[in-house]
Amino acid sequence: MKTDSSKSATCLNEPAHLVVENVAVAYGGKAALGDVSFCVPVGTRVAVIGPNGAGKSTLFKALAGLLPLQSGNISIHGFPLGHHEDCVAYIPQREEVDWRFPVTVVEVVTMGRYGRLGWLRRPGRKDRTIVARSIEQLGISDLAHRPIGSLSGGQQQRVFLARALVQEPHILLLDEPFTGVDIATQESMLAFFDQLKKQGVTVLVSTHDLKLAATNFDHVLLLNHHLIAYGPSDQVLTSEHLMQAFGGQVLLLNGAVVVDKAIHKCKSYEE
Amino acid sequence: METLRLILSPDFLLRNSVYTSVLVGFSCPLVGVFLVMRRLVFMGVALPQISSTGVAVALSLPLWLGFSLTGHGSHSAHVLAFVGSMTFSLTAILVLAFLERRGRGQPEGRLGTAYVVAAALSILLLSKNPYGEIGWLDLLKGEVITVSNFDLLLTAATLALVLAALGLFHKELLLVSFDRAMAITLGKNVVFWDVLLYLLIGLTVSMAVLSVGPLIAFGFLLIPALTAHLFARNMRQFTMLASLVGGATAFLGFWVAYQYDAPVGPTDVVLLGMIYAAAWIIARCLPGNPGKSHKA
Repeated sequence: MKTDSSKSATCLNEPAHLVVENVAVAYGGKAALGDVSFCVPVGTRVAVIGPNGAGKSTLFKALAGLLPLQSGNISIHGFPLGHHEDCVAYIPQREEVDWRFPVTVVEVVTMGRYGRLGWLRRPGRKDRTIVARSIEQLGISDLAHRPIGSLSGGQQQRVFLARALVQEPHILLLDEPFTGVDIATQESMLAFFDQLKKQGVTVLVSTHDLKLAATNFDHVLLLNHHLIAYGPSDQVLTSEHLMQAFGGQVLLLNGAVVVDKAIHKCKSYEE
Repeated sequence: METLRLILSPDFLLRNSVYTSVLVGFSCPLVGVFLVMRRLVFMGVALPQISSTGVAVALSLPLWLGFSLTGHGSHSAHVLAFVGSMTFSLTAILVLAFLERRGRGQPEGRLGTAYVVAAALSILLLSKNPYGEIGWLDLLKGEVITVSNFDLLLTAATLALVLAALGLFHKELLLVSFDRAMAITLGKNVVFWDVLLYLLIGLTVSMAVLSVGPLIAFGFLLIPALTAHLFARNMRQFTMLASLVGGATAFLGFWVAYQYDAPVGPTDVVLLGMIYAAAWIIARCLPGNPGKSHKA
């Protein structure tokens, strides 16, 4: 599968925030990503699209510094990954979190400040103010002292967003944040991304929802082990690219592209 | 009531045994909560047994190497036992935790095998050992009778150390246990904190095994934490409740055992089991209890 040659051109007139060059990553002993290169300008909202097992989560984990790169480079503000601690906030998929853990909303959100607190230092007044403000901003103040296991999917997602917010990140990575959340939460999350954009925060979101990707994000990144296309949605979400990414899951109906959700669902169930 | 007054009196003959059991009862759950939350429950079962094998091996050394322990055999034997127990439990927890992290093979099978072999080996070694007579076999059975001032002091000092470390590094230990990925993105050295936590667990376990034996040690490591997990809404409640259940049961157990002339260890563990069962039923019946949503 060939990668789009125009992939790194999008940063031309704007300062690059995140630059990914020829990155290859293995996950569970298998090659999950190969030769991925793209570049994200400051304050851009990017939707990462691809079939199940295409390496979306692997890409996010690599960007968060959780998986070693087999080759290639990732740089943020021109510095290699890990140079700025806590500059990247990563929200994993829901099933990766242990919801049995007896921690309250406030406790979880406060963890977002731990990166700024050295050994033996406890969260101070400033930290508590920031935590309270972000909990309020996400509309979960009334749940502040509830254990996270007792919340709904949407509420849990808001808790993790609040935690990412108190990290004061430059880059926010969300792996499948719209899965299992209600419409209200989805709407408030999208509004939240708009707000972050104004603050110059770059947001990368993986999703299965092509419509959402096309309408609510500045760029779309189409991935299937390799980068298939990257740029504004009208250039990326073409039938040719989608066929390349989704293969047999794509149906062309009178020129409109339909990704077969049923196949999608079955696959994700198997996994 | 008569018995209670007797146990609490300062010149009670088995005073040290009461203090030691209660100390162990309070402190084992403090590290036990981490075993339960990190899904290393089997580790809590295997580790005390492996630690006691360390005791058995250490006490067999004089036999194998052909020297004898001087004095009354108690002080040097205790030091030897302490070293053996520490070495075995610290090595075991680091190796087993490392294998667990890699996630290959069958962790339950591995831990189960380690447990049963360690148990058999320690009984075998001690039954062939002259020093085994001096209370060590009793220890394996869970009889808390012979606790010297030295033992009590050692227990108290270790527990103070563990308590201080857990308090000082609470935020890091919580973070690596709850969300390892986030700890990494925040630039925390997760391997360091993991190892520190395992060392604290290993230390507590060896101390508990030396002073009260493996049976009580794993009873107190796991059951109070599992009980508290049914009700706790946050980490503070979780830890405090677990520790309280452990400490109170240890005292109650001693009282009941003394009253009916039963071995303390088994009494403690049976009581813990009864408390857990009762707590489980109560948790199911309480409306709006967070324990209901947990799948333990």
